[in-house]
Amino acid sequence: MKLTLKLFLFLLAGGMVFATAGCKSKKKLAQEAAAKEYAAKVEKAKAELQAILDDEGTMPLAEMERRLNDIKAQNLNDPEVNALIKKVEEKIAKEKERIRMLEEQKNLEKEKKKEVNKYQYINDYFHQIASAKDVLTANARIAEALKLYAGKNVPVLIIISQEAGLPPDYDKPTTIEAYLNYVKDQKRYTNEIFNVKFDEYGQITELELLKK
Amino acid sequence: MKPKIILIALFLISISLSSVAQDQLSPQRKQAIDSLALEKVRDLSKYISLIGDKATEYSEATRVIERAVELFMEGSEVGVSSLSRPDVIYYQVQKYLERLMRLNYNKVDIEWYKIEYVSDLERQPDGTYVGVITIFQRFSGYDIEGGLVYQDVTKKDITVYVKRKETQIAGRMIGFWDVLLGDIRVKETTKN
Repeated sequence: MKLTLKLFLFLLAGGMVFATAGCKSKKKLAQEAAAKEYAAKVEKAKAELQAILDDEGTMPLAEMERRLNDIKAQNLNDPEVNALIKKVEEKIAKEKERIRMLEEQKNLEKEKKKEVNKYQYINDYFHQIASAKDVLTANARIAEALKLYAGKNVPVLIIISQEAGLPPDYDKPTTIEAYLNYVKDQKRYTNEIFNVKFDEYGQITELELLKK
Repeated sequence: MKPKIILIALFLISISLSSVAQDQLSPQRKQAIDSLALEKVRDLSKYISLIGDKATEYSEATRVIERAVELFMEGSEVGVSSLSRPDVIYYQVQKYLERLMRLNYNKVDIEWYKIEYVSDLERQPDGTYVGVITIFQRFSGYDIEGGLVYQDVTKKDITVYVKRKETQIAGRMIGFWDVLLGDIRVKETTKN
């Protein structure tokens, strides 16, 4: 009986030691697996972030943002990944700014086109006068064109150069009558309309042209 | 006493340097006034061709003469040469243009070409930019049968003066470049 008890106790102790050792090894394995998984995630994140950085315009901005957000959601907290995230964020911000500016430029061009179209009827007279087949035709067009203006002495200003931060440089101011005759004599009109001022009757009181 | 003099000298130097900087035009603005002066010479070329053209009505020709005169500085002269005489006669601009209108040919063709700067616009102490533009003029005079009776090619130099001025338009100050042409000097006259 004594021997049996001794054997039982021995086996129990042995079993406990074995069980503890097995638990420890499982935890280690789990830790190792987690570390491996983390390392894999870090590597994958680094590769994806680098791919975004290396991309030369083939990846849409939305896709870049989606990938970045996925990576950020993983909270990897790796210094290299964090540095790459910062770089990608900068790249996305730059790209957004570029797109915004492009959009702004497009809108400006659209507005300018609208403006040009709005004043096309003024330009048409200049072109018709410049290309008139003879003086009589040109004079008839001048008489018609003058009806658009508040008077023969309406000032015509021609911008010859414009620089940021400086007021524009003009050619010597002239009057609409003199300018229409100038276009007739020179048989040439190469300016574009920059600004038009009207009175309450819709007649032009000032015309600003831009030398092309 | 000495430090005071040095300070005053430095102050004066800084003022003069800043005014030099203000006077200097950017290449873009300089190019704009270069082109403007060339354009005025081309405008004159067209006016001369219209005035000389016998098909131009008198009323139109006199109007164009007025426009052409406005391009010049007061008192400017135009040289006239001929293959038949060695000397060059200079006329006041108005007189030259009126004479051109009444030339004794049935048809006159005047063409200006190779219009370019021989001396770039240079800033003078008074702020005026002065340059010289050279042109070649081919003059052809025809008789009633349409036969060419006279033709020559004259190389001429035109002095141009460009000055920045200001004027008020509808209560707004406008800075503009006033281009005026000076004398037109004959350099040489050849048959063609």
